Amino acid sequence: MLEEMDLKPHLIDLESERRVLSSMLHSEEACIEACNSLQSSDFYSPQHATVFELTSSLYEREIRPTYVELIKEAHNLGMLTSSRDIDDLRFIAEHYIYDGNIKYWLQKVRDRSRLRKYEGFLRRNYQVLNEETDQDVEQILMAAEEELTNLTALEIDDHVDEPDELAKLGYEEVERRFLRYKDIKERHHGVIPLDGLPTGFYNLNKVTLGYKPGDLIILGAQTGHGKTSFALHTANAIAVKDKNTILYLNTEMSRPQIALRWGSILSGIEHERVRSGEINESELSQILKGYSDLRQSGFYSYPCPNLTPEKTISIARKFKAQKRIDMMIIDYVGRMDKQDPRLQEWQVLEQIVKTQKMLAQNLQIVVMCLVQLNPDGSLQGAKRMKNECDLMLKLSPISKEEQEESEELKKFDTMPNYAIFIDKNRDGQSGIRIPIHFDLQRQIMKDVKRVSI
Amino acid sequence: MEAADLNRKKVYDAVATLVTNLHMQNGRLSREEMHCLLTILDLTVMGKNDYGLIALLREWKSEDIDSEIDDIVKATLLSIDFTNIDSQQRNIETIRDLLRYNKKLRER
Repeated sequence: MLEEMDLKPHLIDLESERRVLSSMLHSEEACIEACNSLQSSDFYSPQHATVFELTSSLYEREIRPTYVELIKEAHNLGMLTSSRDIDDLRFIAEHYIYDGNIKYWLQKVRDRSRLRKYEGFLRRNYQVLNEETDQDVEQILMAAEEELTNLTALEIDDHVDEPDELAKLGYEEVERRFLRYKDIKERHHGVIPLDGLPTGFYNLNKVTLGYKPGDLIILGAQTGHGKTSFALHTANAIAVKDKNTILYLNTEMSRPQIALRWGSILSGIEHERVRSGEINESELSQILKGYSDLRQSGFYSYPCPNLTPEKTISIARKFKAQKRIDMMIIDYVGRMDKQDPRLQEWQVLEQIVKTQKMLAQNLQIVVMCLVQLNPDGSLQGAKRMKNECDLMLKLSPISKEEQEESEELKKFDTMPNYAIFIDKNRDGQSGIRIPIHFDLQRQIMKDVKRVSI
Repeated sequence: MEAADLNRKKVYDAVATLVTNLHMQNGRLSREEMHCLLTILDLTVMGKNDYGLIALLREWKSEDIDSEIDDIVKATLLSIDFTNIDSQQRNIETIRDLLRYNKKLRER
């Protein structure tokens, strides 16, 4: 009888399972990779599955899963009852690998797991064949085909929309928008509620309805034209004022530089004076109040001079699992390390942008990439970047001449000195220029209000 | 894998197993002592922030300590809640005071 047969040895790979677990206990990067690509059911050995579950649970609770933490956790849960249990754990921990090889061992564990599922599929269907006397052949074959297709073609998180599912989704979206529109008219007096995270600018909110999960946003500006200020303005609107969670990756600035910037932004005191300490006592308490707002915010900063596209993936996964981030800002993409020196600049940028789009969709977070514009305002590899992103914004100063000559700009309560140009907007209008005011000394950006027609 | 890295992993795993066995096998360490020693091992090898504890422990073990103070330092060490930064910093300060006091005693 087939069901009494043991599994063939080549369907079981205990060594690979141990190597993956050992690496999880010795390297945080490996742990992130494993938690993201395996489930406990992928392990053949129940003991290994338990170790994986304990390790993943430590990681999700923001405890770095080390061998020591694993022992403490197992001991607290009463799972270590004899020195044999300790020896078993040590045996697993001692299957050292070079941490960079984790993907190889993960693939081996995954492959064996899929083969065992296939073996299970064969067993079940063989049993069906033997047991059923009055069989609906068509139904049996269809069911088997579906199961096999799921096993071979689709990854766990893949999903194909059936026609009825797509129709249902479409109707629900339209209905939601219809009800929202009705709500706006009746309750909000025409002010549109956002679909995603606030942008920090009234007019940009109106055009985009906010930054939505899965969106890749590219913000381009020339050197010294406010990329970091824009990023921190966005973070202020989303993480400080609206209490969402943001991960901010900065490749250029040090921790004190970022912290000082916040002092100025949140207190409204000139950055230069905050930096030099040329402030009075009342301003000091104003700054303290600003930092108290920052303390209660969802702003996580990760200064990282040696950022690579691969590293952004593991950092984002970690913060998604542990802090439930809604958005990640990369300040800025041009400073990322090249993995392959043979690649041209535009090829590297394309690769980065593609990776970030995939990341945004997989983790269902907003990813904002800051990129540097050329002196003529163009963007290297712009066409490819534009294809990948959902929203492309360009930030640039308004020239003194335009400020003096343009009648249009004089119609605002404050003279706009900067503009955000919406170069692409997958979900709405593009080609729009939004004037704003950028207080360079205080590092604060704000909307300008039209006061005459 | 670099030899130094491999050695570090081996030593770490071996010490953790030894400490755990000293509790599990023959009860030469209490549960609290085992947890405390494992945590100190993690602080030392994994580069976690120890708030100056390791340097203080070296000082404790290298000096001639009055037996009563020795017991108090040990009890303070065992009472640290390593998941709580305040508890860590408060108790580290206590140990620092105790070692300072011990020094004064010895100088008299």
